[in-house]
Amino acid sequence: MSQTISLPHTDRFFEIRLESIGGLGAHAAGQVLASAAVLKMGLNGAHFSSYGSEKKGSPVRSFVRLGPAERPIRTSAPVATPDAIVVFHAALLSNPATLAGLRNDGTLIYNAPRGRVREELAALPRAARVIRVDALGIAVKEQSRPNAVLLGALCGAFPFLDAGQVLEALSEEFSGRHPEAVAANECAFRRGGAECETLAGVGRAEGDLPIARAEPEWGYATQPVGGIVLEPGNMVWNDLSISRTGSLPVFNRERCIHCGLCDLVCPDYCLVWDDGEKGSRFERELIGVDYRYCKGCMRCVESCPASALTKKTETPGLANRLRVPLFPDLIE
Amino acid sequence: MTVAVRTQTLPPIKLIRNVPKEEYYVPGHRTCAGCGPALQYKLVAKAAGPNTIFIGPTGCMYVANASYLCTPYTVPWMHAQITNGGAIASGIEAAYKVLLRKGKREGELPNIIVMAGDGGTVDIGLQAMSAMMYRGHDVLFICYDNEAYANTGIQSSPTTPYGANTTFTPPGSAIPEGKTLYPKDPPQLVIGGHPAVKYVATASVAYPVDLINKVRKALNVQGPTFVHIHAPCPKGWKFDEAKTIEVARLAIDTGMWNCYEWENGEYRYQFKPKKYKPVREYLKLQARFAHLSDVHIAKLQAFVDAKVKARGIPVETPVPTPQAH
Repeated sequence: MSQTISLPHTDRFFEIRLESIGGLGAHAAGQVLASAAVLKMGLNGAHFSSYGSEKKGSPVRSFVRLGPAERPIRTSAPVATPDAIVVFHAALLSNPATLAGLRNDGTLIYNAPRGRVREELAALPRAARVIRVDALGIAVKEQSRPNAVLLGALCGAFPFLDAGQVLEALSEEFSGRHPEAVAANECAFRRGGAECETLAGVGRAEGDLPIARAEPEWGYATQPVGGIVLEPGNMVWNDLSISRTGSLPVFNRERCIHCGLCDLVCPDYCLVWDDGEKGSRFERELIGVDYRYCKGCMRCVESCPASALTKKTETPGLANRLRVPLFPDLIE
Repeated sequence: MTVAVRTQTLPPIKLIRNVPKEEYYVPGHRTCAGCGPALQYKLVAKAAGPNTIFIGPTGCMYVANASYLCTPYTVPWMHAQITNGGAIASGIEAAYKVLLRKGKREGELPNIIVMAGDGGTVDIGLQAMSAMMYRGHDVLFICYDNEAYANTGIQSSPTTPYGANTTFTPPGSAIPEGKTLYPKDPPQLVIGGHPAVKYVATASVAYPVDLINKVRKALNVQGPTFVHIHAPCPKGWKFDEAKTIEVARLAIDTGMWNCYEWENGEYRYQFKPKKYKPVREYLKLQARFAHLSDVHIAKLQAFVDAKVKARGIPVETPVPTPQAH
């Protein structure tokens, strides 16, 4: 059953880092890949994920290490110098830590539709391979999840990974509790392998990318006694746009009756109000949505009695064009 | 020299139009999209106003809201262990009372609100909550009920309904309904055993104006008060996050949740349906109940019917009580 698979490097482990947010299946993808490698491909493998509080929309990193059968894997440190980085949500690319440590000859696979290449990718090494696939678009069409598509793309990019056996492991993972997903996942997996595009001339840097190490300024040496935080920071500086998964509410001011129901069901205070114009019937009027904070739950759309808020597919740049800032003096 | 301690009085509101404009719970927190508890937190913060201190026992409304050095609250807030929300609040209240009485601090006693989850109220947090109610501190204890220990990945808690699928109560061949135990009743626990408590209320995110008024009323009452808020959790209960309000409303329409106030021995009910809808309508929206058979649903219906009757809510039950076995 086990064939001899030769990994690309004989002197070190083959390391993959999946960068994602909760809800897109990165943890399951890493697990499936490592299981396939160990149980079907005769390799040694290790997988674990790192995330803060377990929430949909919060950052998740999943690490996979693969090695030959005769070499035990004794490390469970995060993957700092990956051979491959798979990015599940393109907005994560605006954070330099997402690509940190990528090897000079490494591969980046990221989820985005066709179109202009993001400027941040110029920071990649010149020699790195850059592959793009519309994982969300394919997943929505096939009623699967982005992880199935990206696993297919990963196997396509690295032929030493036996795509048939990874697909088998993917199907086994879900056949127990979600048998209805197996066929959809298979379609998504195959399309992921077939429909990725390799982009040329993207990276302009030389050598491996530097490793990012978090260096907090506050610690036992610098903090006030007792752990009191005298000037706490405020969450308004967080940009939650990356936690949306494909849709956002669009506001049509003509239809709005300014009843306030949307505001009473939004847990995130995304709706921006202002005093009504002089002589208007309404003391307060809704003027727009601050998409910096919108997570796309669509409760406002559900609650609006006048259909002034409608659900639309999010395309790149749409949120920024429509956004009305909640704190215009503070945060643009 | 001792000074009489003055407390605030917050007026009730009649319409959505009168809901206060000011927000004391700002965006940017990392709760899930459509989070029910985050919504109730926003409404409670609006109701309480600026002269407030929140105490946050560990749970979704601590972990998802705060990261180190950074919170979404614009009023002072302190973390408590999941076990001791009541204890921390007692200490804060006693300290403020002493400072005010001795004239070392001016102004009114701040609203002191514990924002605890169902686990932090009636399970792991029960002891400190009950002790605080017994000692009679002027604190509002809010239980936001998402019917599980949600923050750690949805484990069952004493308010998880019979038949719910959680990671601790997974349905299988040996235990087909998943959860076999019926839930505790937090407001009855408080009402039944604590003589110092003068006001207890239950509310839901489905009716925000009512929620705001109940919180204000509880804050106006001197002494310990308890408000139990139904806050559906889209991830834990497995429903589309856009439907949170619909689920909360159906809970009330089927009797799974009852909105009432208890003040000095008298009950007042709100949003009593003229005719209750069958529990099945509420269950079918949530995948955490998808595994239940008709026998299990009948058992749950019987439990709901008995609970509604016991409250003294006059009602015509939709299905005859079956022979449960």
